[in-house]
Amino acid sequence: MELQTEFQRMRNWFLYGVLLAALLVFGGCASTGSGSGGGYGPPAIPEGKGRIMLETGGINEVNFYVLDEETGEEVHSETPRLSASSPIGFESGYRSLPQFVDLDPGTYLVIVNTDVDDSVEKTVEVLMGQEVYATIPIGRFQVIFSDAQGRSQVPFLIYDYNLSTMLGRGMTSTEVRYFILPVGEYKVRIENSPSGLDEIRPVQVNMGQTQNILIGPPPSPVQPGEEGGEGGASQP
Amino acid sequence: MKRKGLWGGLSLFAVLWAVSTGAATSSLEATLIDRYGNQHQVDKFTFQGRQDLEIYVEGRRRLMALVKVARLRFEGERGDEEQRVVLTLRNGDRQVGMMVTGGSSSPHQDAVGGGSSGRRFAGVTDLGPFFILASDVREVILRHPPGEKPPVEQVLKATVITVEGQRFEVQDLRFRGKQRLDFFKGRNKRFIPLTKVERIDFEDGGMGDEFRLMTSTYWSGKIVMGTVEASIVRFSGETDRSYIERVNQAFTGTVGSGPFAIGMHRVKHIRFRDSSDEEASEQAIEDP
Repeated sequence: MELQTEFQRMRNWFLYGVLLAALLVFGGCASTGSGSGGGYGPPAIPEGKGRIMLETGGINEVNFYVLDEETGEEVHSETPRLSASSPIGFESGYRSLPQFVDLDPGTYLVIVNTDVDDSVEKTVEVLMGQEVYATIPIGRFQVIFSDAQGRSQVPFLIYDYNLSTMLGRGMTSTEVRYFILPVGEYKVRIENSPSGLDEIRPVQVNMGQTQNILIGPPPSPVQPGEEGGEGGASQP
Repeated sequence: MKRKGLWGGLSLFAVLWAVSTGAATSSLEATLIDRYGNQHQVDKFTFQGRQDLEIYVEGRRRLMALVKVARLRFEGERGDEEQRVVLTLRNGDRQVGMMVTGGSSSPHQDAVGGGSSGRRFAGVTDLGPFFILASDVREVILRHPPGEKPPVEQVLKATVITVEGQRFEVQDLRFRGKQRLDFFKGRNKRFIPLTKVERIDFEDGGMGDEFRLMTSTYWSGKIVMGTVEASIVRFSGETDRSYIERVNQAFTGTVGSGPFAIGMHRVKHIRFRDSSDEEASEQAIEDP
């Protein structure tokens, strides 16, 4: 009898231990665990606030803003990217952390602007001391236009799949430059009157995937003894 | 007694866990019926990860939010690239349109991200992650929270005054099919909900100006300033149809004699009418 009581006591202590460990684990998840300021991971959530983290499928930076659902007021805004039709825009920088914003508890509307007229909107509820991941269904593609001189800047248009509505404009670049769109199927049209080129290419934008669309004459093969130039851009 | 305390602790932990994981966005639930008649109960229901559908009503592209939809039925064949779709909205309205479902068409050789149709419904069932090609679906019945009122779309009435001084009384005014006006604050793109605005004034500008200054006054008295795109230049690669739509059909609606459309470069003022005031005045006329 005494042995059984002792066994029950030990079992209860074990269950209490499991409960405590689980609470510590979940508490640790919520507090991001970077209080020591070691430099890894995002900083700790400020007291009395919660955090929205944007899950954008590996895209470094997006232009977004946050509206308070109750008042309709803008409470946060970030615009790190230039317009898609800007001739000087190029993809730069490295970001190890997703974009995030710390806000007072409440319900917010996160609006991510893309390179077409359609933006992506998510309603997110922020709780004190919690991180909430807002998954933004966007993807990206790159248009590489090359002529006899190599890669060049040419304007192009982004249409819906039916080619009935023009959704946005872009400019190709000699640098690495991506265009961000909501996931879906689109068509890209480049019309270059001087060269008589008129190309329409379908684009399937998937989250977390990057596409390169090569338009123009294929790059000339590199001769032995010559150094590989920009024409070496590969395209499956 | 100790056991009660233990179970109490466990239930408290379960509640805490449920609260911490339930902080994400609200998700849609749906019953999906495929072409073989099988029913699937799907949670976190999306179309290509998005909570809206791209449909074409009378040839015009529209994004229909799934929260407004009660059910949708595909009336085409499995192999059709485009299918007729009938949407029953939560407010009782019925809309018929076309939707690109992909069918059995193989993607273009240059569609690098392709390989298969990306047009699919996705979600989670009791068995795990779930997706189905849109071409395999016959009907979708969305299950919204009981008691939740469907989002109400106000019919906007406004007086539109052009730069030439013409005046139009317009019903159901929309900007590019939406009840919001996209504008730029510097290089930041923002929108104004037309339902909350009393008036919008556009600055005078030359016919060739790409942007026009705009001042909007909310019913609350708030004033927002910015610029709107008003270009009438034809872009390289633009089709006749998209050019005419972009330049001449920025604002659309109906007037007494039929459909109404006007380009951004021609609008001078828009005065919205408060629907609650009108209802009150109509009531007063009926019950003097």
